[in-house]
Amino acid sequence: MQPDDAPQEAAFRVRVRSWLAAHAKESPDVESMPGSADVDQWRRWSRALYDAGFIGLTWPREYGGAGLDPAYLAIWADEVAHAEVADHLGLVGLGMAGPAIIDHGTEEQKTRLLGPTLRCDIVWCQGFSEPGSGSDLASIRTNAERDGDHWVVNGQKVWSSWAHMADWCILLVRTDRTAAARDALSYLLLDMHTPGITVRPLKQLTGDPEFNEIFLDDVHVPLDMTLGPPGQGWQVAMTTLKHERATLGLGLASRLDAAVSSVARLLGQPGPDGAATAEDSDLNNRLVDAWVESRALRLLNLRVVSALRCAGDQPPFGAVTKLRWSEANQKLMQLATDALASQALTTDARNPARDWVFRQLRSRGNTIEAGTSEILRSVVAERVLRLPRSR
Amino acid sequence: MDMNWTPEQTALRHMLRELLTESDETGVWKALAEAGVLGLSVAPARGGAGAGMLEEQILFEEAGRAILSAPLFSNAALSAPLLSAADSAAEDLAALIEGRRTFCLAWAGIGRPYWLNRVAIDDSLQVNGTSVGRTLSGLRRLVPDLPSADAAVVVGAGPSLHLVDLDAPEITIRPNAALDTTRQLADLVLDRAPSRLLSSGPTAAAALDATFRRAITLAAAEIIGISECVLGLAARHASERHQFGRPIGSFQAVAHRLADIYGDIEMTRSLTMLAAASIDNGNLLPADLAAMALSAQRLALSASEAAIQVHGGMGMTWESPLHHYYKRARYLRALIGPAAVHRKTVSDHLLQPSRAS
Repeated sequence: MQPDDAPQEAAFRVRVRSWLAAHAKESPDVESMPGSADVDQWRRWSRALYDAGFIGLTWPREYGGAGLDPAYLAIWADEVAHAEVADHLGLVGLGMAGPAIIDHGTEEQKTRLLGPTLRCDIVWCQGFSEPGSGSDLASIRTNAERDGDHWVVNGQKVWSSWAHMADWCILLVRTDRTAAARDALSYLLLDMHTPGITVRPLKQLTGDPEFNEIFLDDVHVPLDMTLGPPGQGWQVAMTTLKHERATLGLGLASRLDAAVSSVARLLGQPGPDGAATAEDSDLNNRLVDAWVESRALRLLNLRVVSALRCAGDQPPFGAVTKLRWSEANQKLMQLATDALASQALTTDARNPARDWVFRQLRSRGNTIEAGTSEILRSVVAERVLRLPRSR
Repeated sequence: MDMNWTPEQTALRHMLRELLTESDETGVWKALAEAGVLGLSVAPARGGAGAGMLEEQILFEEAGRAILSAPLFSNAALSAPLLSAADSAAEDLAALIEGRRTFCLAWAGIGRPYWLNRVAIDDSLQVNGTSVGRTLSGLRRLVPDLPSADAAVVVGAGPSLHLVDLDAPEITIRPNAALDTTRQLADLVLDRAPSRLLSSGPTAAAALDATFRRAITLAAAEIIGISECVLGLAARHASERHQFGRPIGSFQAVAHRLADIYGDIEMTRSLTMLAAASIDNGNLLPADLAAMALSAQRLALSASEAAIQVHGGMGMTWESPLHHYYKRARYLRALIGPAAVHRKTVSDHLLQPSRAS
């Protein structure tokens, strides 16, 4: 066991750090929503990261990846977070759609979609949740009827981040009305430029329209854009979510670590209301708790990465990283806005603290998105502790 | 970076788990000595197994899980590193490692905070030189495993480290009824007791500080083992105990509390692995030790208390073994020290101007 970088890892870290330092100016604002105004900057930045060799680190070489083990992804996540620059725009593509296509895709799907995903020519969104199916994903009702060489899809999806600018969508649909819930689902790759798709942005707590509703009216999807066999959509989706939780965890822990440093700086400054925030014992204690949690989470993620590299499977403690991160991040953002006091009460562009206001509001969703904390605790209870099921 | 346990470390864990489950109270010490784990991280040149702190972490996690009442902490965590740091104690160290003699550490003075830190040392211990050697007079309180030990490492002001044979007539041992019924705590009264000086001044200070850092890490490891064991007991009970026609573990109020303990255990274990590895690498950040201490202290209470709660009324009784774990966890929590001290270490680290860059 060795928590420090091996020589090759250290060399990679130096290379990433110096590249990011030289190019940080070109990064879009990390906290900005890639809306229509700066989406070109996001795409250019993502492409530059790809050209520099930092994207697809863990993807196999044959699909344009670097074929490295996930330790390098951890280093990348660390360095991007601490440089406070943006990561690649296509996180759904890199973390979910891509790995699912690598695992289950046909050669044609791989050739057509993987390269452009790495280069950010294709941005993906996720069409899993529905108004009536959140935590209970297997109950989805969006329906696909087979008609000749294509599916005809009707239904509604929700909570699709970036759908308003996405090129493709990973879409979970019901393709069999007779089979039991989990054997009736199929996983489709949907070109978002197909007729019959309406995307309606949902304004979230921050005022930004990051999430969207997707309405699907007689949308035609070629049969050969089914990922994995029809009826196996649940199994494909589960590998997708496994990838999401494994790789997302790394980025999140690193961003949390960087955010703790930023909040520490915030507390080191005189407060806007004249109070010396560093001497406020409540704020100070909460900062200490945040660092302890963040530090432990970082190590826990490294343990997950080490286990993945060695065994290929998520270790049992991988089930707690997202849960712990989401609650730690919420507490940290509350701490930041408490420290900012009255500065956190306005959202004008001229308020230098406005990013913190948005970050705090955005963090409220952390315990809901990608598995609610309630579901994640039940997962730990049932799958790790082997407690009897609650339903 | 590699945070996996090596196959050798996993094998050590399995060996220890089997050894600790199968040995009875009298045979366990001999078995531990024969397995070579009393000097697990002592250098081979000094008769030890030459392993590191991660192996020690495994040893103490397993000892906690087995609620071992043998004086492992006093010998392997506290005495061995201090004897190992003194050239004059080679024969004593060998006796410890071979299980021939057991040792304890008497460091805490009167009116001083009781934890694994030099702040516990008072200056009331009198050291007198005589024609036949040195003698010690004074009192050291709440010495773990003192009644069963053959010798004590006694810490005086300066600091200074002295070795005292406990069968000398100038020694009085005053046992206390300890909260932790599985670990004896006695006061040591010395009245011109013959002693040998192991070290003093900066050498002794360095040896003590290093030993305390290691011992706090191993106390955290023991808390992890205890917590893992009580979580297992609670999960089993919650699966078997039925109320309202259902196992109580199917109620989310019960299940989610246990799920959180699982998370607390793995978070604390991660911090302990980092502290252990960093001690071996010589790059331990004081804030990392403090983070581990804070995390372990919280876990010490949260796991045992959740387990008692889930067991209901029986958890409150001596019919259930939980009280041993709870009390041991409470004792270890005290050894780790006041949370405020560890909080300040982290806070200083975070709010240093240099760190902000």
